[in-house]
Amino acid sequence: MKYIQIFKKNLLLVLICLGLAIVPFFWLKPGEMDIGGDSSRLYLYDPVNYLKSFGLYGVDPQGTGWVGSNHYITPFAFLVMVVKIFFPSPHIAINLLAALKLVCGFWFVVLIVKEMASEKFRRGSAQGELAAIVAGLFYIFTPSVIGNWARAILSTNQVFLNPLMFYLLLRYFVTRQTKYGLTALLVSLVFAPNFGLTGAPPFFAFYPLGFLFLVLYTTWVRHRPVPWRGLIVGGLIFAGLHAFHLLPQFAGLFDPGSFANTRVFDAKSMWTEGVNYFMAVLPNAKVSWFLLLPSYNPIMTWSGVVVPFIVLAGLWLNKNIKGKTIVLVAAFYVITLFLVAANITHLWVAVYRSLFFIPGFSMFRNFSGQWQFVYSFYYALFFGLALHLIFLRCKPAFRRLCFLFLCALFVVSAWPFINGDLVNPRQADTEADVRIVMRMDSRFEDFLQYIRTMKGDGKILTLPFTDPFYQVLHGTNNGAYMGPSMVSYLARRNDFSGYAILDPFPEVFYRLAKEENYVALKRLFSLLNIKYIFHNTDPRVYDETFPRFPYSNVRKFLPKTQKEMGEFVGKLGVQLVYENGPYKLYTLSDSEFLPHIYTSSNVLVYKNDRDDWYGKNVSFFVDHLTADLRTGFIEKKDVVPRAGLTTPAITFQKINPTKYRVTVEDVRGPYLLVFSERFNRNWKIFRDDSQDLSIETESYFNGAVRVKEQRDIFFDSDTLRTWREKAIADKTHIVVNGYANGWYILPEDTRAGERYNFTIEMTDQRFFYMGLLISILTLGIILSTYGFTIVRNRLKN
Amino acid sequence: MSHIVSLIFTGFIVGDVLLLKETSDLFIGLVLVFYALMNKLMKNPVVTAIEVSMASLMFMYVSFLRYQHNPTTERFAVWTVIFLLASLVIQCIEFIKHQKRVFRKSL
Repeated sequence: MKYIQIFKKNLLLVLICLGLAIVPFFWLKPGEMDIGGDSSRLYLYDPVNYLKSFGLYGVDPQGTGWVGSNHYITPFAFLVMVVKIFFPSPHIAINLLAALKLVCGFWFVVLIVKEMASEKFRRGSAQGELAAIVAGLFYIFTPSVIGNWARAILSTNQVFLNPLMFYLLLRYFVTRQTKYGLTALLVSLVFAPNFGLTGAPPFFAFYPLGFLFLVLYTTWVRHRPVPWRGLIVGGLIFAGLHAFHLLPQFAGLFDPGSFANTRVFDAKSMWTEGVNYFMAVLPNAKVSWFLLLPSYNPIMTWSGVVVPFIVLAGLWLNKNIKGKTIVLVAAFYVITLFLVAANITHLWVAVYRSLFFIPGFSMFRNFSGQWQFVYSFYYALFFGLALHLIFLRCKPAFRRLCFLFLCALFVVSAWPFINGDLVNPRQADTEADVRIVMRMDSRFEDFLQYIRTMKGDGKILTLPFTDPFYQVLHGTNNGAYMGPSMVSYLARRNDFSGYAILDPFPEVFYRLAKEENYVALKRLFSLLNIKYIFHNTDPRVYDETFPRFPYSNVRKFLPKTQKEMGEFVGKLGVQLVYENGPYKLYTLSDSEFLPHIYTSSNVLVYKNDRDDWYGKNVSFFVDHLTADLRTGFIEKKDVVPRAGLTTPAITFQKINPTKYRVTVEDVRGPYLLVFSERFNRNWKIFRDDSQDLSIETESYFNGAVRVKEQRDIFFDSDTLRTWREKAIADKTHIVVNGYANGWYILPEDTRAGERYNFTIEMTDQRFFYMGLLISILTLGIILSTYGFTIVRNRLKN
Repeated sequence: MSHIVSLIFTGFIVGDVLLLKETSDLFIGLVLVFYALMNKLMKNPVVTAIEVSMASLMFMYVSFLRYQHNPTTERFAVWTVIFLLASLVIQCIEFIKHQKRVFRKSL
């Protein structure tokens, strides 16, 4: 009965929420998905394999394997897995997420405005209710929300997380009820990507300001003390819950020389990555655009003045009421307007510019993009409170008329979004009718499954190659996927699909392809441990469909049509191993393949005459094509004596992407061990006396390098074995072949005779195991404590 | 109160002139004169600041409809924001003054 009364009282709100929840289900036809974009949304398509490939290990599945913490996706991928038990179709999962974003974004803005509008007036009044609904609609249809819907990156979930978390914290500050704080903590865990260093820009854009707002609101407007004790406990629980991704991320941040460390603390990086970028994009920021937020609907451009006019009118009306909330919200609105627009007087630009010298502030170099969601949020609150003040002065009939007019205005302005046009736009830079929403080709799914079953060694080169790091895959409808390689992210096979992934060799690759120097190309592939070439021969992903992006540069160096691309592949002396429709997988000759791990037969020293990657690369392998395949190229500064270098036989096995087991035989002197993953100081080798009985799958160089069947063991009794052991040959860990890891190992390093085992391990992964344990324990403790409290209270009652 | 508002604008303008290294921005002077006149007439700095902000907004809107983004549109947009900021600062100061009065009375 109680719930029916609540339902009746909030009928309008419930109906709007239902409408918003249904809208996404009309956007996509059954089976269609929007899973592309820079960070892709492949976790919605296949969360299990995405987690296995990306979330569980701190080594990137693309290219040479950058080291970085990718663990933040784990809880959300688990949630999608649970959703998929009930709704197996990824199409449904995508629609549900879209509905969640719309409904929560709208609903929590409504709740916040209603809460704040009750400062001096009756809580739940008709004026407050109507103003809150209009504000909610305004928020959910602002250009920053609807304009970022297609190809949404992970952090775009802030569309609904910002209002949701703000409301929960607001209620906690005002009521001190634990349930609000606890719910906020659990929500943060599920959407962990928005609460780690990867999601640092949205986090630091919203939460410090939000926290300050809540402190001021609680003390200044509500005249209540801030629950500092609860906040400190909450902070500690937050750290515990998020330890699984924060621990590895902070370890990387404070690791000198790491990408994150350089980006945050290096003065040169602050200047180049921060200030220069900021000054370059500054002219694009238009204050008028942020004030008016013009509609995507061309016939509604005029409507932009309505909201700013209402907020100013609200402030004007406040002169008699003297409400503090609206002034506080307006102050935060102006702050975020300064931050999002930047271009407000030269004085402010100078101040803004100087902020980039604060470590980490360079994350806001793309300031408009990073602050737009926060700005929209405060704009919606400001608008809601101002409208509330106007409604207080209006007669009921006029108020309802205004309400209907404003609702209609926002709905019509956002019509290109509601009808799905903005959600499924045409792919960039193409005249053909190719959309971003695609239906997966079952033949490609079979191809991915084939890749997963491959047990041997070797990376993949994907053709057509792209300018950024994308793979293009045409669906069975008129849509195409353009995003990170599915071979990498769903089949865990390192794949080179674009320029950025081929670092440090992309320029050399282009030049050699243009010169049709197939011998050098094959040598380049061997250095990168590439054994397979995946050619998607579908003409719709290359020939005339995408005349420019993402192939503008590619076309200058590589064949211009799929037919010519096929001939190019044929000249590399490859053999077809799999074919299913347009998807063809070729293998390069075993005699031209360098396994993932090998001992170097010779060492060639190269000079870094030209201070760029291109010069560096030219100076070694291209100039020494006749050298033995197992030659290790090293920079002059890392001297390895050539005399006395031996080439013991090795057998290796991949345990998981962060761990390899190696057996070395016939050791008679020092040797150079090469490991073809991107150089990182935290790849270390440890002595290992365990026995391994796995099946041998491949053999190279007359048995000098043998490969055992690769495994995928995330955790077992052996995982912790190396933790207390000291790494060997750490001082002679050097860069080999321009990017890979090499260890110059002397007999005294091992003191183990002619045959022994060791483990190559990425030690950063340990932080994930430790953090995961802390997170699971914290979650268990808070859930059991809270559950126990609920049961005890019920029994008491 | 007018002094405070004037101080805010003086800060912005002096800062801008120093950074821009040019003093030919007549528009700044015109806005100041307009603001001073309005302030004299209305004798309420909060209302005046908001009204000037509204006027600026309307100029910006007309300019936007006609030219989309051009320097004039952006200039009016900036002045809308600055006057809005001024009105907020004044309101906050009024709140603080009120707070002080309440505190003194309670003593």
